[in-house]
Amino acid sequence: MKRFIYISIVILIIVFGRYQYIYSEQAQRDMFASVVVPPTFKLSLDNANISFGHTEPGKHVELYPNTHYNELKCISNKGNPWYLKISIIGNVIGPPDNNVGIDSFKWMVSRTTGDGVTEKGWHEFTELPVRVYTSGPMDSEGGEVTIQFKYRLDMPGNARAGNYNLNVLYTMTDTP
Amino acid sequence: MKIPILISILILMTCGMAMAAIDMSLDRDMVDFRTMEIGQTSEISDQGVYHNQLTCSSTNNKTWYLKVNMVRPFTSGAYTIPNEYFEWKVVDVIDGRGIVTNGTNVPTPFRDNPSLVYTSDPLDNTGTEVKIRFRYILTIPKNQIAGSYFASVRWTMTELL
Repeated sequence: MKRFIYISIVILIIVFGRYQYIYSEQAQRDMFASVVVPPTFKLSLDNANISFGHTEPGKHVELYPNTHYNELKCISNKGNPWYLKISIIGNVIGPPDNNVGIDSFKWMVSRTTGDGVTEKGWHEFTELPVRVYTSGPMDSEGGEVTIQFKYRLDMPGNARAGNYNLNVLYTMTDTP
Repeated sequence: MKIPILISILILMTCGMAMAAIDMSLDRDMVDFRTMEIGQTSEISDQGVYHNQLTCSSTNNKTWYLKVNMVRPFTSGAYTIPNEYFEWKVVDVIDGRGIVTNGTNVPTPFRDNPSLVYTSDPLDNTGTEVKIRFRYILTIPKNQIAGSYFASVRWTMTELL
């Protein structure tokens, strides 16, 4: 009986000693980290002055026909679709009874870097915002999307001499 | 006869517990980078020159190693910040004579698998409390979805390389 007890104790010492050896050779501590990435939703324009210079009545003038005139950079990391729209604030400012309407001015997207959908071809400016670009899945993950524009003026033949101005509004929105 | 045996076992277990030879503590287990914009890099050191300190001691007279790995990358819902954008660096070692794997003040990205941070010197293995101080660097990628991101890191002090 005594021998059995001694053997049991020796086995326990070996087993527990082994356990203790494994236990004591390693220690672990966990650490936690956090960060808040806020929503970014911004638009920038490289050239806000569109000038057609001197234009004869009945002439068509396209600015930089072989390239683009200006470009917008849109950034969103909200993960939701966004839309770029364009419109005219007010009306054409010029001489009275000038016969030059906002539909004489036209825009076209010549190139984008995003994976969204572009409204193709020439479009007349309007007072109501119209959609220019609808973002794609990658466009709302924080990357910069460049949208390049071309502009054209179809001056009516009966336009009166004078200076004409209009204000263009570019809107980046998450409302379709 | 059974009672003395049980008492012996309990004594053995108690002695075994008391003989724990490796010990490690962490003075600050939270790294809060607060709010960061996309593309921004931030280095955090909330205690002046360092952010937190691991205190390691061993009386085993055996070389020990400090390792680190990511248990969970920065995650917010379905989105993660890749591990390579989150880095640690040892800024100081107090009372230790071992080797910092990449040297001090060298940012090293966290990895999923344990990376060696520090290898003890024989003088570190006789009960000396070796204090290793860290700073952390995070860069938010330019294409990172907005959200609150959380990560988990594990420090391991081990005698196995």
